Amino acid sequence: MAKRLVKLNVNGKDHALVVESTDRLLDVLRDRLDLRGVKEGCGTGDCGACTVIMEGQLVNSCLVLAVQARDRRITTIEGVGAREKLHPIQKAVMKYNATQCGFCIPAMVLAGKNLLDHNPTPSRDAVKEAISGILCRCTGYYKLIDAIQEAADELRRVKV
Amino acid sequence: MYAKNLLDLSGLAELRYVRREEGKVKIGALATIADLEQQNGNSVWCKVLNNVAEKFGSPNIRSIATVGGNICSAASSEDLIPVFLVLGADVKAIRKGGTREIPLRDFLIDKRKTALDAGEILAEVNFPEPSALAVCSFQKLGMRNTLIIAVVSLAAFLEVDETDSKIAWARIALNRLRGKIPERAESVEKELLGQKLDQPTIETAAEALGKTVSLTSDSRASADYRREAVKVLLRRALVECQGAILRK
Repeated sequence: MAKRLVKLNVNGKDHALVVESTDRLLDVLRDRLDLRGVKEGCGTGDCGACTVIMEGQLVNSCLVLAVQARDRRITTIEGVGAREKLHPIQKAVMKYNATQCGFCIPAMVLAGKNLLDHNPTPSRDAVKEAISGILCRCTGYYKLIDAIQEAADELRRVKV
Repeated sequence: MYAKNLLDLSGLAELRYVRREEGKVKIGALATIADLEQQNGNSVWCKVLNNVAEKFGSPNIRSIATVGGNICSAASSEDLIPVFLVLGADVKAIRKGGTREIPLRDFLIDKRKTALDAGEILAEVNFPEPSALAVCSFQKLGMRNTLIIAVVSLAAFLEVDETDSKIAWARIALNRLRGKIPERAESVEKELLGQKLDQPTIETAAEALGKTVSLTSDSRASADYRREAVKVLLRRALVECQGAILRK
């Protein structure tokens, strides 16, 4: 084991951290940067609860070492919207009561946001595909899909 | 701490590429599955790589999983291997002071065992650029679409002669075999040669595959179930190839 200095840009803020070479990005985000919206479910890449956006791509932060994320831009749920100014997906998730236990929701919102960042007019199938790596064990998928689609409409209205 | 020994190659940007060169398609070992998914183009190899990528893991997995990782896992469940087998791929292994190219089928020795020597890494997989006559199909059967290890996956690659409409070249490969690594179904390939790609030929080939192939039984499916499944997948693959030829 060796310690390494890594620079990360998380939610627009630069961090320089000394990490063990075997530390997972998930643990660094939660325990060092106190970003507790990043959840650990399975720890093996199956559930997607630890999803973050890294350089415009969804990744499971349990499968990425902190050293592999060096010099990358990372967005967690804490970097999406603000308490006073929610992201349209967050608003729509509330409107549709799309949360049940809430454990998968940070990942679901990030997956929706990443989709809309790349594709402002997604089909219903594209929304399903975008969130397909994240498991909801309360089985609340339909309301989440509705919410992401409504947010897409809302974002388009705002832009026009 | 989860990993005891780990050498991270992800910083080697020079091993992440997909390019055409000297009549070959060359894919760096560190190209991600998402890189394959994003290949634009109407060529047969682009389409089949797009297709296998879309059926691979989930978007979260595809953004970090690599082509080299899937091949070196050398497990029966890997989806890229049947596709690269029908494309006639070679792999390039590098070590300090040397490079060697090995046919993919010789690179795969046993479950989780490859021909890589100590001190060697997989650098590239490459295959001859398919001709304008080539058609290719990848079929995967899983218990659901995303994040699933296949019950069975199958790839087919055909070239049909323009003048007499007969199959001039056929390759079929599948996983979930009793041998624990994906392999070609050569006896069925031979039966297809010289035939017209019509309904009777497709039926005969599917039945022949069901008869000759030796499949594994495990927690996902029995060998008997897989036997029925591979017949269906080969039918679907050949029907897709038939459609692709008509559209040419």
